Amino acid sequence: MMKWLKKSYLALVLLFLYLPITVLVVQSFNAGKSRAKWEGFSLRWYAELFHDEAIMKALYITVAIAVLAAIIATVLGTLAAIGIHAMRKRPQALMMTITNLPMTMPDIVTGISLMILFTFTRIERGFMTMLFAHITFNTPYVILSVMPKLKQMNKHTYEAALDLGATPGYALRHVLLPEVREGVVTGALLAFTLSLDDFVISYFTTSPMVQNLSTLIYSKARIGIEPTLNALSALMFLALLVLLLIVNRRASNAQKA
Amino acid sequence: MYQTLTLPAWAVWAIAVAAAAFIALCLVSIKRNGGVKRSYFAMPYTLWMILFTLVPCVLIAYYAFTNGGTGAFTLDNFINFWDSNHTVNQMYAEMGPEYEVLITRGTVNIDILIYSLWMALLCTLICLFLGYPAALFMADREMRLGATLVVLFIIPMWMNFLLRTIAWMSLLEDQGLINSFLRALGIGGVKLMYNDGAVLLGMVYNFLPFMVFPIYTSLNKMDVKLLEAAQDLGANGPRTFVRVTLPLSLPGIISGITMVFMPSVTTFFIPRILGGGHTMMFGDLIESMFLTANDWGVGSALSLVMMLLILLSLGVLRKADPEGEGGGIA
Amino acid sequence: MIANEHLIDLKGISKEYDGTRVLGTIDLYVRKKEFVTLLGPSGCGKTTTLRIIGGFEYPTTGTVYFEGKDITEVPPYKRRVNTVFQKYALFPHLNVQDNIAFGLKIAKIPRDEIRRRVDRMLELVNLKGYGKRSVDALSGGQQQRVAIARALVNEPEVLLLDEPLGALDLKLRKEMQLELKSMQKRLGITFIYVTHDQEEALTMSDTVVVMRDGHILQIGDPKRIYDEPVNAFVADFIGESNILRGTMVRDELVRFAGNEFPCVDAGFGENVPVDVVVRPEDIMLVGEDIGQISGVVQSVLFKGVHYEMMIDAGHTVFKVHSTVMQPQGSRVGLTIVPYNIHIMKPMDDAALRGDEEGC
Repeated sequence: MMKWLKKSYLALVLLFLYLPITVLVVQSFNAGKSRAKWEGFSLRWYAELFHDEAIMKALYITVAIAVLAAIIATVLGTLAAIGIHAMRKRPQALMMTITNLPMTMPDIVTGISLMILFTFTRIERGFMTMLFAHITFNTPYVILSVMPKLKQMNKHTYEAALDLGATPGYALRHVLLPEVREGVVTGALLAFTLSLDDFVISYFTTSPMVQNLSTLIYSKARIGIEPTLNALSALMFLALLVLLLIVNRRASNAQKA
Repeated sequence: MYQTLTLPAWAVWAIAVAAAAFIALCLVSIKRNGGVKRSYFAMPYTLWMILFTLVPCVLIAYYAFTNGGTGAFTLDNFINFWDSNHTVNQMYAEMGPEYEVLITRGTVNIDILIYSLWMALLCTLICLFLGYPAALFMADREMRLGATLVVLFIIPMWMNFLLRTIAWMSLLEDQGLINSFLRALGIGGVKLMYNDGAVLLGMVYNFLPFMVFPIYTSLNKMDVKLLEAAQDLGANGPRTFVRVTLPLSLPGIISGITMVFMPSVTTFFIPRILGGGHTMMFGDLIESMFLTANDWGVGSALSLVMMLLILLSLGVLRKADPEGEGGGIA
Repeated sequence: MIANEHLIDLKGISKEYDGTRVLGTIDLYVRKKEFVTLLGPSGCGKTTTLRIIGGFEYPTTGTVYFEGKDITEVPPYKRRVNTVFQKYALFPHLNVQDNIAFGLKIAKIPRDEIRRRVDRMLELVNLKGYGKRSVDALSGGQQQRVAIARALVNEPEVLLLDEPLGALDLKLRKEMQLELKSMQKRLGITFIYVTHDQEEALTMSDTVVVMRDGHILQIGDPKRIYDEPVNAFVADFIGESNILRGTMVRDELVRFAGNEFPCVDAGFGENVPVDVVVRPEDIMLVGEDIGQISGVVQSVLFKGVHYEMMIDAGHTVFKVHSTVMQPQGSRVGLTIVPYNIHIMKPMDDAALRGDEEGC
């Protein structure tokens, strides 16, 4: 009896979480443009999606930024994590505070502070500025994913490599990286998805000429969202789901091996 | 006006000298240590963070404490935050005593701040009361649903957050699904959109997972033997919960409160969509200061106040959970 | 001593971390094919000294010479020195033979040669046939052997060992001590060994360096260190001892425990306070009336080979080791022959306790 009650409570919470998503997906298959009225099943919006230039351009920018930001943040963050891990207590604490700062700062303040920086240095806002902003908020997450793996490692492993004749670069590539690979992959995926979903920071660091999906949706929110955007986000949702399944499969395979 | 504003020459020099000194120091120590020290791997990141986090913060502080036109030090921006009629009031005061009756404090900014804090508090409480039982049932070892449910809670967050919020519009509108359903049942339509309730719903919807995860993590870490021990010592169900489970999940609760309260104060966009733009929250206020009113000084002052509030609440919460073992989405 | 006989020379070395000195100014040389042990409690600076020789830390002051050349700031990968680390630090993503071959691959040795040398090493450390195993699948002792093989395969001039046996159980530790010693003799490599275990130091070394609080207290061969400790701390750290406050009455006569004892030391002056060290096995138990002093047996503990008895001699309680048990409560006489009484300049109280702070 108790079990049944608990399960139905959880089901209600999940219903709350999934209701709007279901609505969104159903709308993408609606033949009509109305948000509320069902006018029959159709793939019309999915077809139109690929002919909508604004959406395709925003999609391209979103993915390009997410991929580039994830790669650069992963390199920067992994190196940083290794460096910070090797520091003495006080500089380490300082670096971790700096790392936590953008994570505790409200997105809007991060976005605005970067906007001020770019205006101040007269860098025109656009693709590059948005990329820089994404790298900035992504890197701390990479560091926090890699750090625990480093802490699990024997603290002398890196020195052992140097001792055996490896230069710091060789030791990094052949000893440190293989050991923290799991954390690096987690960090990169986290950076990628965060970047894909970001709205607030992108909003302040790009120009109306260079829009990612979020800012595009925002600019259309007042005049009404077309079902094409619903179709696109349903597709992206599916893509992410597949990506996660692949990563999970790989992780569990690696564990078995 | 702001586009052409630059730092005084001495500040530019100071930054240049500091940067040169930093690079020189790096080079000297690399030379001296022959690249043995791993801590140098953190250098690109350090440089990056100085450029893109610390310098922007300094710039915000600079704008908050200076006059937009002259660049002189001033507290006017903070006074403007307290009294949005400050400039006009000053004019009245100069025009003579007969105009003094016209002086009234403009409370718009403070009102919005209080409203945001109130909404954030409500949102946090609702998330806590909705989320705690959910986390508790997820951690129920007999049902073994935890791992699956964590994934089920994460998946909705992959849908673009703007679209998810907009999807609520379709549900809540006068002609929306919920009202159609109610009408079909013979109950008249209810006004669901464009009010505080709708904004609150959107906030809770967005932040609920951030309350559930940390609590679930702390409950899941708990040793089953503790519960058995409590029961063994004669505690009944509710008493075990109050005396053992609840205190042990406290770090998770605190971490959840942090993760919900702080971003919800600066909620941006949700009030605009679900509140119909009739209400403003602190995030919207900051945005409009920069992009609509083009008053960077006051906008920066607001951002500083926001950061101060966040650091303050972080400090309070840290005190309640000194080990910081609440953890996040792990 | 001819300078070029020294393989490694530390001159005026000190090390500070954030303004805290962890290593006082020390001077030390190591000869070719010598087995040198740095011995001391944790926080004494022995590991720091080793890491300075390995190149993992650069000294704040001083110079490190290797065959007469200054290598103070030469990075570890350019030093002809290899290290066996605490807890081994094997590369978990590589199997046993890849771990051992790591240094050879970097040195671009031809593949056949690598295989030959790895196989020879596996044989040397008794791990023949383990080459393809994952290092995680090995026991602590086996991992230890891989770590040694991984360092030795590079044919270093000097092998540094940082508490290499610390993680092993007692029996395995004893076996490995003997094995390491014989390996060192056979290969003719200089070993610098760090440990806090005095027994290990005494069994294996040619030279023992006793350190404390970042300073070297005494350098000497094991027998000399055991028999003639320079002060009460060394005496206490190297084996068990009775350390007593006494007065040098005149040359060759010392007063402690309420009695005067003839001894062999001289040159301290007359009626000066001294520390007296007597090893528990150097006290002979004799009949009650024929001893120099007498006391009551307080407690008896069987220690495997001998009995350890605490004997209350009125002013002092002596720890005595003997193969013959005296029953608890019985009165016995105690006799110490003159050359077993070691007289030292007194140390202050704090020094005797040897505060053990972390490195």
